[in-house]
Amino acid sequence: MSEVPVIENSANEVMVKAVDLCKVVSTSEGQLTILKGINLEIKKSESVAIVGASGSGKTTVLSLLAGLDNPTQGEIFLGGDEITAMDEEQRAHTRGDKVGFVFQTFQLLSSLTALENVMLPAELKKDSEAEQKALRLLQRVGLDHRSHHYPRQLSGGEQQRVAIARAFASSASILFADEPTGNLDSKTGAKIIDLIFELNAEFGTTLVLVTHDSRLADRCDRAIHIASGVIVTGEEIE
Amino acid sequence: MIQIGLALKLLWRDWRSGELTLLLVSLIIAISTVTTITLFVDRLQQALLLESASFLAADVVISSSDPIRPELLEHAAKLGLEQAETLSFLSMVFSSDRAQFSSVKAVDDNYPLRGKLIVSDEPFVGGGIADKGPEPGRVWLESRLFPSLDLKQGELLDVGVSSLTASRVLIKEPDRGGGFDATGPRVLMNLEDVAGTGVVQPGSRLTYRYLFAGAPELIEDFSAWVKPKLDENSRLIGVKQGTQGIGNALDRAERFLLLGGLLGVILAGVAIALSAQRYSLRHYDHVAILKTLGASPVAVDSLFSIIFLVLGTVATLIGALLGYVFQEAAVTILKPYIPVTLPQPTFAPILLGMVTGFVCLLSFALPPLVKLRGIEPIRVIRRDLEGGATSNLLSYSAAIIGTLGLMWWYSKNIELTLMIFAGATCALAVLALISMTLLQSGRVLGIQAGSAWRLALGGMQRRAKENTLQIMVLKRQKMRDSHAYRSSW
Repeated sequence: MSEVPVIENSANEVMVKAVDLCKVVSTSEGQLTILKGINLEIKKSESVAIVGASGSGKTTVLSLLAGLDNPTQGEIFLGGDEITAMDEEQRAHTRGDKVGFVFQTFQLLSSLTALENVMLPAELKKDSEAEQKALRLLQRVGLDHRSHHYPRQLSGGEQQRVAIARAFASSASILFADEPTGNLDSKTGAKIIDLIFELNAEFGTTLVLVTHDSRLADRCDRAIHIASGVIVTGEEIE
Repeated sequence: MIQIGLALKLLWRDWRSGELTLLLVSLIIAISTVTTITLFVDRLQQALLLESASFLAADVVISSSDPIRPELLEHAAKLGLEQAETLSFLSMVFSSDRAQFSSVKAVDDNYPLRGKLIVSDEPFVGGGIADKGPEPGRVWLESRLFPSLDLKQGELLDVGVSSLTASRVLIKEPDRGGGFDATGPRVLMNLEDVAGTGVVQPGSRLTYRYLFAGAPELIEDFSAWVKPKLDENSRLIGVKQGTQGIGNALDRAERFLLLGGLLGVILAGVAIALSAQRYSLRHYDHVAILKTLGASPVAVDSLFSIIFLVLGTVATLIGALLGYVFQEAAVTILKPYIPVTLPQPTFAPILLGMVTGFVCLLSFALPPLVKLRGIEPIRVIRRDLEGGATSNLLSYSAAIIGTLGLMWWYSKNIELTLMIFAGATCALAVLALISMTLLQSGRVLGIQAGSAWRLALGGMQRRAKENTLQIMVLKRQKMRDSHAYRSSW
């Protein structure tokens, strides 16, 4: 493994940092700039909402910060490690160690039961207690009685609860959520929001989420507004 | 890092959810088809060779105008081969009143090693099997010699200066060929009596034949060893060289059966390629999620390699077993139409079936598998992203090399392999063109058709590549079936 620059830990430890981030993609009509000069810092245990209109680039920011995609330019630090200096092999290990995900479309494996889906991150780390941990998390999200059900046998809200349990199963320090309530009705969405914030507080996780849902954004410590690929404001929420 | 435990878990979970069924079934069908055909062909070839060996009265013969060196016979004995010896010559034979130019063959007590001697007590009848040739002092005569020499059973026949008793009528001998020494009616005598006849003199035109029989591999070893040691007056004759007609018939039979098998290999490969492609496509999201959760490209390689290895092993074992069962069933069904008893199959066809399975898996299923490695984790957010960067060149090269290699190994005939491969490629190209044209026409028709037809044709159009491939496979299968059907008449 190549040497990766490490940010010095402090009381106000920075968990996520982006420096001069740019993302340009090639299209049939030429080069398209999706993000331009993004600079941000997110501290440990902080909850941050990335908000903006559709097509503003907020999901791209999230995917870059989480190491799912590579920026065209700029640097990203995750828990002190510069993931932009890593190859995919190293980035995968960093994701497995430090990051949990919740997606709008749940992204559960259809061939696996709820329990097996939650076990998967721990199994990838060869954790011998994967099953016990997964059962505890399913109990925590109120789905222990559905542990042997397949995703197709669960409602949207239940699937998202399984996905949340899976996100916390890897003992991640940073949770990235992409429109976690986007596919749910408002009542179920509210319950999911409560669950995410409860678990976030319980596990001391840093939460970075992308949302259109103002209720969800309002629950965060801070919101970062993105428009046309640039940060417009980064305001504290009272 | 190899994660066998997790791979086995994922394999079991995939199997349970039915994701692997199609691929496993394709593999099993491929392996069992090849095993069935090769086992059946093997037994048929063994039977044909055995039957054909009866035309030589041996598995291999050394024919010579002089006695061969004793060390050659000693080596055959060392190898454990059965041996017999004959000596043929043309000579006048005499009864009390008449003479007849005859083809005399003297044989030892081991003759014949293959096939049967048929004899009777009166001329021109069916007769029964004799285990060995005449005893010393006796001769067996072909039916027509009795009237032509005005001879009766039990009377004496003079061969050279010896008088021998014409004890039985020779109805049929296994190695009655059409050579120079077989032009006259046959007189069969014991080899021990030859010296006493005084016929064998310096300058006599004689044909010594040394007969050998044994296990095919021993015969092969002996043939390879002895061939370079023979002088210019001797030649080695195998079953195929023994009689040109039988050799040609054997070659034709082998080629026909191989042709069916080769087409089976191609078809099996395409079926595996299709199901592996489907498996791979259905796992794009799966892999993207695994990568999001921390699985590295190396881990993905390990996981799916183990999955495919286990799958290949299971399919190989089941396919080989089914192949054995199917060929037994085929032999049972065809028993009334096969005039000979088929020998037990050898292990080689089962090995061929197993290797076919793995080579098919590697050449047809590996490229889609390699694509999984290149799946980017961002796919969990952007579903529109395609698979990895594996080039089509790699996929096609692997499939072509695999198919050619298998066909070559299977047929041991590069010319036949290239001809069939080129033929199949041309046929598939024409079928692809026709299928694409049909699908394109469907688009035009779809615009004018009702909504249900428009939707159906639109769906076919969207999946034009896959549908074209499936049409090609089905047509290929129909072609093979009709070829087999026509050839059976």
